[in-house]
Amino acid sequence: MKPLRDVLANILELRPDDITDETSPDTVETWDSYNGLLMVSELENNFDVKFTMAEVRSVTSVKDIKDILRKHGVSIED
Amino acid sequence: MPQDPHGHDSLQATPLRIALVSSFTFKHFEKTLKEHCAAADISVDIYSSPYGQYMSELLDADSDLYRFDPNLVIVFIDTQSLLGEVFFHPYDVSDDARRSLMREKEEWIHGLLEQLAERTSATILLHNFEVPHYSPVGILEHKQPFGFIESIEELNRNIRDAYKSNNRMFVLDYNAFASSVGKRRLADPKMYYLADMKLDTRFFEELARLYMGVIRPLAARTRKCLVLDLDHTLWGGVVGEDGLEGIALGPTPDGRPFLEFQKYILNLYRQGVILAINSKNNIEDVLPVLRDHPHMVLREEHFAAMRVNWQDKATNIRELAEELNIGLDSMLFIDDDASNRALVRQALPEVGVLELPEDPALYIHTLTHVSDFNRLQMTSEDRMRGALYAAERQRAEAKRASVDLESFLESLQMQVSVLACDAFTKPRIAQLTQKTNQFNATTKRYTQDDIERMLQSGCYTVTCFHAKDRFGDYGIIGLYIVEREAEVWSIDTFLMSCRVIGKGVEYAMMAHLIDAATSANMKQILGTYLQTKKNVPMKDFFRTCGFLPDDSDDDSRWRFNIEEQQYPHKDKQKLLSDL
Repeated sequence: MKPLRDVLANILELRPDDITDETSPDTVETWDSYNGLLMVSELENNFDVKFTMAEVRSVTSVKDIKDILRKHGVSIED
Repeated sequence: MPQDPHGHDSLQATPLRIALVSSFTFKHFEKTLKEHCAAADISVDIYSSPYGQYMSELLDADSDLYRFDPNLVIVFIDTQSLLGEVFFHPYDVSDDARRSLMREKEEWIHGLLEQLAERTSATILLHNFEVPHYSPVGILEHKQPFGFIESIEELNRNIRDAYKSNNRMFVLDYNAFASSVGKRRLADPKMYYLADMKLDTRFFEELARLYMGVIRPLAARTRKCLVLDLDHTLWGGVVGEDGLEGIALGPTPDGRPFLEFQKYILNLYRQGVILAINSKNNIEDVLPVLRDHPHMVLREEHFAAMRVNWQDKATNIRELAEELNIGLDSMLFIDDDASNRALVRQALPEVGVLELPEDPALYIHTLTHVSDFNRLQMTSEDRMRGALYAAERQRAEAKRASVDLESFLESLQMQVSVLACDAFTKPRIAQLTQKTNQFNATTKRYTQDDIERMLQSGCYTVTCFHAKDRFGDYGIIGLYIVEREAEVWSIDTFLMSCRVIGKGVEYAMMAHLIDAATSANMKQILGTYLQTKKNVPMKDFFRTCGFLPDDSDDDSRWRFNIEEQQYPHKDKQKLLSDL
């Protein structure tokens, strides 16, 4: 299981340190719809969870992703 | 030893261009496919048709798809996209209406593919259609005069039949793929609704593996040889400890996984895969199993080479490659021992290593998934390859036993048959011109159409030769093409597969050519040698056949004056017979 930062950084082509709670499609150009989809499957595989459609729809930033993962029982550090 | 007829000289000067043309969101698949190609050391450029534009891409001659100039086009249209609303309400229309709709759709597909075939020179891989696993009419589905499920099944059948004899178009059985991974799990529903992804990313690996079965042969990366461990792989237990009677092999719960695994390997052998043994054992323990175990399916005669010793397995594989004269990258290694696999992976990265599961019950499923041996075309010579190499091992043993070369050649009892170019021999004739590198005077590559045109012109004679000896049948292994003029025959092509070099066949072929020219009252035969990096074995051939050089400083133009000269290998004529 890779840390969340690493998964996201890899997809968004950023350094892990550049990923903050506020990182969002509005702040990062590489967070387009293509990478958004990639993110869903990579996160599901990495953390062994299945998101619902509503959860996927609700994501607007990295903070939302953390909240959803916590809800699925994944422990995520701040 | 035999030479590799699929030499790797054709290897990729430029990346293979693969186009994915799909009716739904499939671009994410590129990454997986790239990884699989990289693992097979195949360099590729991949193009995906933009979402929702697959039809216009195929129909518009100026589309980016055609500008990409693909070598392989994968057409992946899903059943729902094909049928639109009818997919959801199949029984809103009458049986007759459904029938004519399906016919229309079928013609539409053929039309698309025709355009594609006309506008590119690409190989085309068409997915067939997923047959629904449910029906709105339930159990009565199969009582319908022309049911919905039946209509898709018929479509698949018709598509398959339409391209059976087409050697550019291949049908990928996507319906079978969908069944094997599970139709109910095929798509992640939320991703389907959110993004029109009709295949869950977790099945990408599996699908990429199927695609590799087409990509490998296109990139000349088909594997040819299966290198097999013995203990715990072909039978259960350790023969050195458990003895012939103690190993698990036969119609028992413990023995059947190995028995059936061997049966599947025998199928591969019959499709031309060369088999070799790589085992840490004493040969005295192994030979009795190969020869006398009542349930052994694979016997000594099936193996082209064996390394049964205590050397490390990577060294053995290197030696096997040398002995068989094939590339390391054409070998696939099967061993139950993870440390042996790791060693080979590390020492010989070109060699394929099958990740065999621990449980022998799963062995056969692992092997049936392997597409490394796929070919896009199969001649009877291809099918015989496994047997050819195994017979070659026995020949080599006979050679060691013979005193001198002439008596060895005598002992082979070689028979060379002369065959005309016809519908049966033409595919092999074209294949030989494409693949023969070493014993080839001019290295001219011809397609079947080229050969046909030569015959139609009336100016060429195309003759091929079939060889067999007491150890086995070689198939069609050589040919010549001559251009006939008033008093002169010019040899356009003279080639022979390296499997039969040094057995007198080449001299029998030339004897036939000279005899035919003499009967046709020719005065001269002209030979041409065009040197390449690979055809050194051909360099002195015309000289040894009594031809004189046109220019003593140049070994490319040769002349044989029929009235003045004697053919020095006239005795080889006795090998010849007409079939």
